[in-house]
Amino acid sequence: MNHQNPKPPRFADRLLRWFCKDELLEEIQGDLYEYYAELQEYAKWKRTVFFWFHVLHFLRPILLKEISGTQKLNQLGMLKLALKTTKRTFFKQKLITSMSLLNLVFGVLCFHLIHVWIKNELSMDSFHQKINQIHLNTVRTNPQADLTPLSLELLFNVNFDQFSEVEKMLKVHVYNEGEIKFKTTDRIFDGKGFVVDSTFFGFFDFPPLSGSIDNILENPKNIVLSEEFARKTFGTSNPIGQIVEIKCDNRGSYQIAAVVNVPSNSSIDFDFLVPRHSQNFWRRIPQEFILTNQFFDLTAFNNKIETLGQNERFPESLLSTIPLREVYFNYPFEANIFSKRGDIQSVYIMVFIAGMILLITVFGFINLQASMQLSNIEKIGIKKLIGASERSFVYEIVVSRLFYLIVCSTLVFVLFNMLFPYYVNAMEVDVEPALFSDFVQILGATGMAVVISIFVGYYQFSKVKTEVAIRDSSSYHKAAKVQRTLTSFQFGIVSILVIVTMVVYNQFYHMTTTQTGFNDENIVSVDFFEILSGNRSDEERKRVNAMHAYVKDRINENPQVEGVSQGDMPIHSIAELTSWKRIGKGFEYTSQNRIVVDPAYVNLLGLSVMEGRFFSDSLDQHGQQKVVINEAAMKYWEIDDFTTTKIASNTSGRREYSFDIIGVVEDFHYEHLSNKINPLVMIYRPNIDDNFLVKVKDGQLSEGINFLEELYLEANPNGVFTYKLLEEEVEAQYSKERRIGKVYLSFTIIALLLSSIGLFTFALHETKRRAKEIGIRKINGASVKNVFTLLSGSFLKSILISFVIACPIAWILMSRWLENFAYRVPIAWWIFVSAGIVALTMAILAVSWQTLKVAQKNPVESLRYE
Amino acid sequence: MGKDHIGELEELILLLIVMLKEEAYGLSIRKALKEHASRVVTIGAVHGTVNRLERKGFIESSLSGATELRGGRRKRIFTITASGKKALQKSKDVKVNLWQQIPELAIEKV
Repeated sequence: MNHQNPKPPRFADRLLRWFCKDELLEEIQGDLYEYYAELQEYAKWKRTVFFWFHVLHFLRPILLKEISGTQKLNQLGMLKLALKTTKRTFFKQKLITSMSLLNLVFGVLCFHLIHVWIKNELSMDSFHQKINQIHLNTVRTNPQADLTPLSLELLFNVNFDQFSEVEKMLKVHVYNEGEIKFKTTDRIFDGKGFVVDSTFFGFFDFPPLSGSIDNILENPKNIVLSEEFARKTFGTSNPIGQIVEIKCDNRGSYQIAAVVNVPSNSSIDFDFLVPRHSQNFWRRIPQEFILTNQFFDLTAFNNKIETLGQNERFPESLLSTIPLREVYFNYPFEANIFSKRGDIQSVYIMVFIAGMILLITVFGFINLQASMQLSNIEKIGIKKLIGASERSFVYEIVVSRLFYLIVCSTLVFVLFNMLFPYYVNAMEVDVEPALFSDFVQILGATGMAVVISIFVGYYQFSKVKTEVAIRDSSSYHKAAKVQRTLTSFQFGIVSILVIVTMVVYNQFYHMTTTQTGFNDENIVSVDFFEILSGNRSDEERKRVNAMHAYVKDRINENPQVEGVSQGDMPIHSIAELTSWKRIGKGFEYTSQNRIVVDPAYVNLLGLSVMEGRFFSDSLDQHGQQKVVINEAAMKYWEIDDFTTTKIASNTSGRREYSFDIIGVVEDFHYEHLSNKINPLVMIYRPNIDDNFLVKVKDGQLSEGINFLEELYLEANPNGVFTYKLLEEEVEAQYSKERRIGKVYLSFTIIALLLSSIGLFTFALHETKRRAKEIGIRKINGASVKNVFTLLSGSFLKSILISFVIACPIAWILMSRWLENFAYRVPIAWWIFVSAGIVALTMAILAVSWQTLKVAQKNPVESLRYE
Repeated sequence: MGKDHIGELEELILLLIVMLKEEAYGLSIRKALKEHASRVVTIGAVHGTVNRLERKGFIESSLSGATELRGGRRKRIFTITASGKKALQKSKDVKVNLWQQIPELAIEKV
């Protein structure tokens, strides 16, 4: 044998020394060293593993070190004891235990539900590996106009091959539900279809359910389905290999080649993908993406392409490309390719609410645990007197809190998975659950509450003076200042949330009931004609013009129709910003809203003319230099007499055109109600391809729509008829507000419940402490009412103080928020009063359960005790 | 469990302690177990068992024989006590008695 003394792994050795009984250590270490020396012939790592293996097998009760002190216990025995005391405490304090659990489960559950949503929102589109390389091409038709995502190659003849930093191109024609039909052998389905280049999967990483999808779109006979749509159309049977038919402005049959998953954190959402080269021509104007390589520099590239699109038709157009990863939060495009638009503000708000709920939960839990510990104060005193070490107390605290951790995380996890589908529906969010990471996060959130409560518990324990605890245990109950503060704090937060919710609801109510200034009932919008691209022949143009006149006549003749106009819909982001100025008086060009109208527009929407007249068929012609402005524009340009005033525009080309003002209409809300009514210029210049707004007679809406469908199919024999209702479009602008209102309301109610649990247990504790005092008071002639007011009063005082502090905070927060709205409801005094009433009522309900019980108790019982 | 009852591993180890005499310490018992009884156990298991046996009063021990290989640490040499011998004897008797009461096994043996 080798005489060199081999050194066994140091850490294992130290571990052994730590846990092994001192008197046995020598022989055990000796045996292990000898064993290690015998392993000479093995590789070092093997010896280490063997050594560790044996060291760990010394972990058996009989060999473990005992705890120093008077009790002869080892770690295991201590654990047993701690478990036993924990169990006993829980059974003795059933109410506090279950309230603690309820509080923790509820709070963590809510927190996690919000957390899942936030996470989904922030990870939007990040699953595409090349997300940082994907850019979306956009255009501004003039410097003031909004960015519009369009194919620059098709519309502006930009040749992207000349740029070495562009690797690949992708065009996507989007056909919305209703615009494209998906036909299986026996049924027809509506779906959202993308017509895409074969490079699609080179850009986006939608994971396939099976197999590889790399080159799948190169075959023009293939079609790819989303998982959800595959389920909808084929149920549980395997769709791969099935033949389906597609019908929009083209028709063709395809074979299903793959099914891909569209995750909830994808802003791009489709039901099926059709290869673009399967047909020669798709009428829909596509969106366009470019995939860039490492030589790409955004600013440099945008400078290069900026003016490439300036031609006769769009002399002022500015081209640019924007990173896809910025689209979701920064560019709320109305383009159909993006089915979701992010709102960073609501993410912040949700982060705030989640934080508040977690805070309330943690406070509540600490509070409940602290009162539980206080009720055991005598036990602690006696244990200390006998000589229990500090460690044994820590052990007990940790074990009891671990119980909460395990039970609560499991419950939350189960509940979360049960509630998840309802949550997704109710909040109108799109999130997918992820089992493992959900569990880890739930564990984390619960763990936080638990760890903090361990520290608080330890702090509380370390403050206990043995002698005082035994002699006068009730004096400790008074020390619950922390508890009182925490409860008040909780109620402060709740008051803020209640006020916030009330203000938000009030504002939304105000918005949805405000008169828009126009009549949106029974108006159907139909897109009869597609945009004619520049290269159409004159013949084609003539045919379309004739068809246009025919369609218009047919609509006007119909007895169910009250009126038809090709003006713009008065909804958000329809008006186009263009530059205008008043001639003379030193006005400069500014960006102002412009919408396109025709003479029928005024009656169709029921606008009222203040001065002058609206366009009329007899006096005005399409395209003349005349405008009608709104009241706000009149004020803005300080116009006293419109008949002598002219305004000018330099939008079309660099030349300046002057316009006569022929009339002024009363202000109406042509934008989202959060906007102030801005100056508006209306010109008589609708294009053939603009939507038709058809007002149908009251009660004949469905007949009217049927008529329009027939007419549409007559004009577009291969087309698919779709329509929009103006009323619904106007409504839809406020869906976000409605959703936020719902979210606020539900989480406020939850916060209110959570803090009521806290207050309830606090009251329980407090009344117990004063049981004797109340007995004496009652003997001396105090009535139930006296006692009740005395007890409740002390709680309500702190609630009241917290409410008073909460008011100005909420006020500041809400006046900030209201600044987003041009027309805001003032934060009325009654909001504060009713929020106060709500908070106080909840508090009184929570408190009076206990106080009433104590107040009605026979004093003999409380005094005889002891 | 009665105080004088011994388990199977305990019995084996007791027998080996008797057999090994002066050399009966933890590691050597483990080796002997492997050699004579084809039982591979961890060193910890051996120590656990001898400690239990000692607590029951079946063996005694003394420290001796530090070597360099052991990092200068002494061995604990175990010797069997009278009650240990009794327990072994009793355990054997029980088994022999049982064997003899089962005719099939008794015949097979012949």
